[in-house]
Amino acid sequence: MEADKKGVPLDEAILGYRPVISFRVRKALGSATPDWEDVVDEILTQAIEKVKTGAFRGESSVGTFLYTITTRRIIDHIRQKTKVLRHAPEPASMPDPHDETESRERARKIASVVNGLKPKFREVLYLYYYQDLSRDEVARELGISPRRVSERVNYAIKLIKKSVRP
Amino acid sequence: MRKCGYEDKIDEYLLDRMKPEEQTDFEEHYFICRSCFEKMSERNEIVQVLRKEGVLVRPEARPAAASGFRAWVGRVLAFLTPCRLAAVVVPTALVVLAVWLLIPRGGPVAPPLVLSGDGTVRGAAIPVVSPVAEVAEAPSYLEWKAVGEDIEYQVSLAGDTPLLNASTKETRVVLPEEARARLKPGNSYSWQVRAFKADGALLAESGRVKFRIRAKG
Repeated sequence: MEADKKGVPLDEAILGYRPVISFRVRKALGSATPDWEDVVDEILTQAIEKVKTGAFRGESSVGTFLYTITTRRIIDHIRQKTKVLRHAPEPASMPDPHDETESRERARKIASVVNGLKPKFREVLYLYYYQDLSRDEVARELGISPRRVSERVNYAIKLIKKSVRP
Repeated sequence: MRKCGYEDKIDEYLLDRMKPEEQTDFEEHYFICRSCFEKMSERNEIVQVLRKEGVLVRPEARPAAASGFRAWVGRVLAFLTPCRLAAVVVPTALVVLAVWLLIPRGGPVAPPLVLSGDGTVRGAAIPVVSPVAEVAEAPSYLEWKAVGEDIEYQVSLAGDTPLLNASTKETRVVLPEEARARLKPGNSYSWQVRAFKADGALLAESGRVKFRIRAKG
């Protein structure tokens, strides 16, 4: 098996991209899509196969190689689903109970920190993230400059991150 | 550590506010930039919570008066981008500079500083004629040299106490009998003359001139 630039065997390097591929797949298909994990597995398998058969010759970076496979697989999946969904909807997926608990706990912590923020920060977060207003629209709504909106958003996110980090 | 240029685009991506070509570019980037991906994942977790129903509630309406003024200030600040600010400030500065350059500056010019006698005096020194040093008897006048046309001279004479303050357009002042009677032999006195222009500006000044009346016998 070949190795990437850092000397890590390529199949290991490819498997290390699971979180990145998962993110991209979930973003494209939606987290509620039951088989997103299957799609990720298929992408990783396909990538390792290509390396083994010599289809990946290292002309591009591993990241770019995986991005291309991921994008193609997502498009294929959406095409297939469009056909299937015409006949029957998929049942909802069963989430991993451990992941679900941990995620819920972190979400609760984030919500608690948000609740403790000063009103001026909560106001900006509410309009920007919840009401989905653009930076300029939030600025007009609150009578502050767009730059100040960014500053408040970034400051609030920074505080949240700091409180949530283990 | 240097900040990656894509970091500022994370929110746009997570909130689906990117154009398709920007989105493709950004997605390709985070496949090769581990730092951006980690920052995006972290931020995504927060954003997902913020977008959930009930985490962020609609803030209470602000009082109208407070929001009015703040909104006005905000609108002004929002309007004053660096380009607009420059567009206002630069022409204003040029106008102020032009006005300042055009203001006539023809006021009276102060005479130079000169050293005279016992101290620094402003203006040219007025040459004094008499009395100076030691005199045989009480002088009947104080005399100096002219320093120009249409000048008013102010003269003061003092011993232990002021003896005379007078003004004249001549270059001498006759001491009144009353003042002269107070000048005693054996004592020292001093006098000074100042020249003023018609507009009241000090033009010249003599030093404080001392003289002594010789004692009799």
